Parts: sequence; C-alpha cells; structure tokens
Amino acid sequence: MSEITQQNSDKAKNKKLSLALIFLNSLFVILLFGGTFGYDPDHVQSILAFILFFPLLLGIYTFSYKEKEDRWAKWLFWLSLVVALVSLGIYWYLYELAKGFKN
Amino acid sequence: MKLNKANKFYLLIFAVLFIATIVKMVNHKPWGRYFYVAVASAPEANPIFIRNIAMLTPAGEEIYISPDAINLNNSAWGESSLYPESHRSQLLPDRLVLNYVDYRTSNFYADTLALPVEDMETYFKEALAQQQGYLIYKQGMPQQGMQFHVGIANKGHVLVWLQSATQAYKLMETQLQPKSPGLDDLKWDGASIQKEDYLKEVFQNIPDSIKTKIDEGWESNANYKDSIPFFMKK
Repeated sequence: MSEITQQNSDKAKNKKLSLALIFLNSLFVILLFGGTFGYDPDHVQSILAFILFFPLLLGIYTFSYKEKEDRWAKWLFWLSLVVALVSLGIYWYLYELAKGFKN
Repeated sequence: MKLNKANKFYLLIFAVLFIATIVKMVNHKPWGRYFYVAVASAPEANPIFIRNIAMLTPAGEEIYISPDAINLNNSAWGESSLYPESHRSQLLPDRLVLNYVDYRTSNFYADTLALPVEDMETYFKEALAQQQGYLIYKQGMPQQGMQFHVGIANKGHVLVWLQSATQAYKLMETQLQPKSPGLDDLKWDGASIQKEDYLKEVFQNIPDSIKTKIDEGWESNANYKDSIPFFMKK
C-alpha cells in the first residue's frame, strides 16, 4: 500500500517538475532567440521562437501523462501545434513577400 | 524522487538551451558594448567624393557613416549636423574602410585602416565614468556614449578622433598613398567610364565659386591634419 502511495507521490512530484521545466525552458527560448543578444525591437523573433518551441515542450508532457486530469494538456498541445503551423505559414509568406520587394 | 523520462528529456533540453545561452553571451560580449555613432567631415576648401566609408567591428558588423554631407559639398572640417541616433549598443570598431577621390589632385585613395580599440575603450570608460559622454539617442531617449569623427583632409591625410560631451581624443592619424583607379573604381550608373568623365560626374555639384577659389590657390597649403576642431585636447 505504502509503495503505491510512494509511486503516486513520485508521479505528482514529477508532474510538478515537468510543468516547472516547461516554464523554465520557454523562458530560455525567449531569452536566447530574442533581443537580449541581438536586434529584435518588436520581439518578433522571441515570440516566433516561443510559438514554435512550445508545442514540443507540451507534446512531451502530453505523451507522458495520459490521465484524465491531464486532458487539458492534450487540447492545449493540439491548439499550440495549429498556432505554430499557422504562424510558420504567415512568417514564410511574409518572408517571400519581402523578397519580392527587395528589388 | 526518481526522475521520469519526460523530466530527463526536459532537463536535456534545458542543458542545451543553457549552454547555447552561455555561448551566445560570450560571443555577444555585453560588457564591451557602447552606444556610439560615427560621422565624417572634410574641409570646405578640399572637396572629395566618397565612394565607400564604414567602420567594422571585430564581429564583422558594419557601422554606417553617412557620406552625404561630404558628397553634396555641405561639409566643413570637424562639423557634423547629424542627429546622433543608435538603436543599440555595439562592439567597438577595429577597422575603418575608406575609398574616395580628391578633387584638387584627382587622386584616388582606398584603404582599410586599423583603429586602436584599447585606447577607445579607455576613453569610453573615462568619459562615461564622469557622465561626460556624448549623448546618443535610442528611440528618443538619451544614452551616454561617444561620437567617432573621421576627418578627411587634403593630401590623403586622415584623422580619426572620438568626441565626448567636453573633449576630443585623437585615435589615429595617417597619410594615405594615392592609388591608380581600377575599372571598379570608375563605375558610374553601372558602367565603367573614363577617368576624366568619372571625375566630371562625381564633382558636378561643386559650386563654380568654390572651383574658382580653388583655382586661385585658396587654402592650398592648409594643414588640417594637425587640428582637431572644437574640443582639441589629446
């Protein structure tokens, strides 16, 4: 009985740690790709880096914790994935469009 | 507590991001960055046409220097009316790229000159510690910084100095040797033309009054290279 309790508490701790690490990793992505070490006045790069990286972080969470109470993560994951793909599409479109204006 | 696979993976990602951040920080050198702008001037009595002028940082970034005032014959020795604006702090430049034609002698000059980075750093620190920096505007907000000034005098003499709010610090002084122009140096409107035609084109904006004065020997032996105007100190 106590072993099961131990396992459950381990799982809860791991889950908390995972959420904390998602937060920490997101923060570092924003720092790393943003204006801290470069020129990014409108924060476009940091926002895009976060949008693209977040589904990966959440995906790991979704596929590791599959209980009923973790269903929010699943929904959020698919949502963030769609947002990431759409953003990437828009970014690509703007990039190609900008090319057209270069000359 | 035993780490599960997900957390091991998260920690791995974190380690990668952390190391990448450190590497980026070391390359970026936030501690060696300053606000500055660079301007250029030439004496009224010695018109030149600049084809290329820029400073380069060790990281290869180009620091823009506007040649417009000089090329439009709107420049005077040691003067600049440009609004000192920079949107970020930058590494100090270690090279000056210069390529120009002199009106009086029709000489072509082209060179890359080394700049004394350590001296610059000393002057920057000195001026900034005393809150005597030249004010550089970042999105309208004044920042303590310095202004580089490239003075291009007669006979190939080039002088580079650094301005704080109250002083000028001489960084470099040299005399360039004229070079014979190559085909690339005579490009006008996309095509290489004869040297005489090229000179006519680039100097077409010089007012006749100045040309006449120059022909009469105006300031023909002036010695600009020994004078840093306004703030002369070192």
